[in-house]
Amino acid sequence: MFELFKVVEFFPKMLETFVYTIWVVIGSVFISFALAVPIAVIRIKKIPLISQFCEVWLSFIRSMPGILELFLAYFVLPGMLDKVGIDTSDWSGTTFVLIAMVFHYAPFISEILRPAYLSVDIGQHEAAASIGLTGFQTFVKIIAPQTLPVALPLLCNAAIDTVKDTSLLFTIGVIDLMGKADLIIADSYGMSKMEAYLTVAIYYWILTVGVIAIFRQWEKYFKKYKLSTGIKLKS
Amino acid sequence: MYPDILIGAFWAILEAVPTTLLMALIILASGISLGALFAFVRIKKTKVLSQFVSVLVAYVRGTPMIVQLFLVNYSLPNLIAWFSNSFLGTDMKPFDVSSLIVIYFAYILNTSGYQCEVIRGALQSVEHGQMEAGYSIGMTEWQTMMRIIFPQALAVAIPSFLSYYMSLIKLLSLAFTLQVIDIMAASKLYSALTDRYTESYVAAALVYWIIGIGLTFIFNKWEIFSKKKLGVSV
Repeated sequence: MFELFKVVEFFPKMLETFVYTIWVVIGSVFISFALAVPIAVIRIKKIPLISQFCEVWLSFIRSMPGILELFLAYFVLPGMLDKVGIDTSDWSGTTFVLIAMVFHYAPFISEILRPAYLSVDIGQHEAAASIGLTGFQTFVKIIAPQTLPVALPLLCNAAIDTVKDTSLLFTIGVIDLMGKADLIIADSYGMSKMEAYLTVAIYYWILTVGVIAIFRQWEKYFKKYKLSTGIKLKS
Repeated sequence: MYPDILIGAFWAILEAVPTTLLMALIILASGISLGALFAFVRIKKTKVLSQFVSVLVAYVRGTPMIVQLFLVNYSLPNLIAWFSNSFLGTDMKPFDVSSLIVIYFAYILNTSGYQCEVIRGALQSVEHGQMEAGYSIGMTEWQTMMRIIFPQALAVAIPSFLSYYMSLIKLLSLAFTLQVIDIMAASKLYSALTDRYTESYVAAALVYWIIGIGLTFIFNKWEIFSKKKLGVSV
């Protein structure tokens, strides 16, 4: 029945899709982060209309399962874009995946960045203004470094959630780890399901552990900007 | 997009809401009980069991739900059939095992893994001095746990339990892969019946949104209530 050596056999076969999954994770995390910053700015500055729109968006994605967002992007969005005159027939599955991921994680990450930004003491802004820094300089040199140590643990959670959401890509026909497992099972005439999915589980476990390790390193690096620990001056 | 199909889909999907909410509630309650057991094993550092629980928690937290669901789906029925055939003398095939058992097993295991960590953190958030205070007035360890530590830990843990309820409702959307009718499965069924994907999925999104807004409202009410209550007790 269960043969452990099959896992060893399947392991290298899935390496290619594992690399693909990593790229999807990196892509969606970075695009989401890039979009999350302006969303956070809009909500902090309370720009009318756009700010309210972002709040509705946030409440929507909070109650939406990942798989439904994927289906909305893959089945509903093309019809909507078609009406505006955009042809989506030659878009790859990965494009829709990235759209669904960014749609979910951009407001999600902005809701991490906003409280982190607000957690920086108002005195820091005043101190920066008192020595004549401009608004942009204050943000880059004073505020942003102090925001990161607060935001990083939560960003790590968001990245892990992204990793887990990539396991749903096979439902829209993209060959990810789960899709590859399906193919391998079909190759072995449906005999080694357990072994194939165990291999997938091991790959995902490696990926989450890797993400956690990377974020630990960043946390260690940015710890020196945490004001309670004191800013270490290089002599 | 046809509004009448959208409304039809909405009502059809609404019928699956009570089932989904009830399933999530059963899973959450059992998961918390099992998670509390795991948390005690880890706090007491029981040999072997404690290591086993940490591996289980790492597995549950490190792999996506759908992988866990598939792993259980392809192993548990075989195990049950083998057990029942060799010890109870029945003639059972793996596919005789109901997929509801698979769903409950997979989700309860997942919930207990997450809640184990929540409960452990909540129990450890209560100061050790509280335990000593209990001893000093002559309470036994069990009495101190039940009367002093547990109520305080519960106040810390309940928000996490509530937010995991929301996560469970979302996670149950994966159960359609095993033919259990929840909100997502109902919308897939409706889309297959009418051949209209757009309306069914938009209706499902609306249903999830309404549930989400409702639950967020309840969570906020609870937060205000508990803050008031904590203010009295501290």
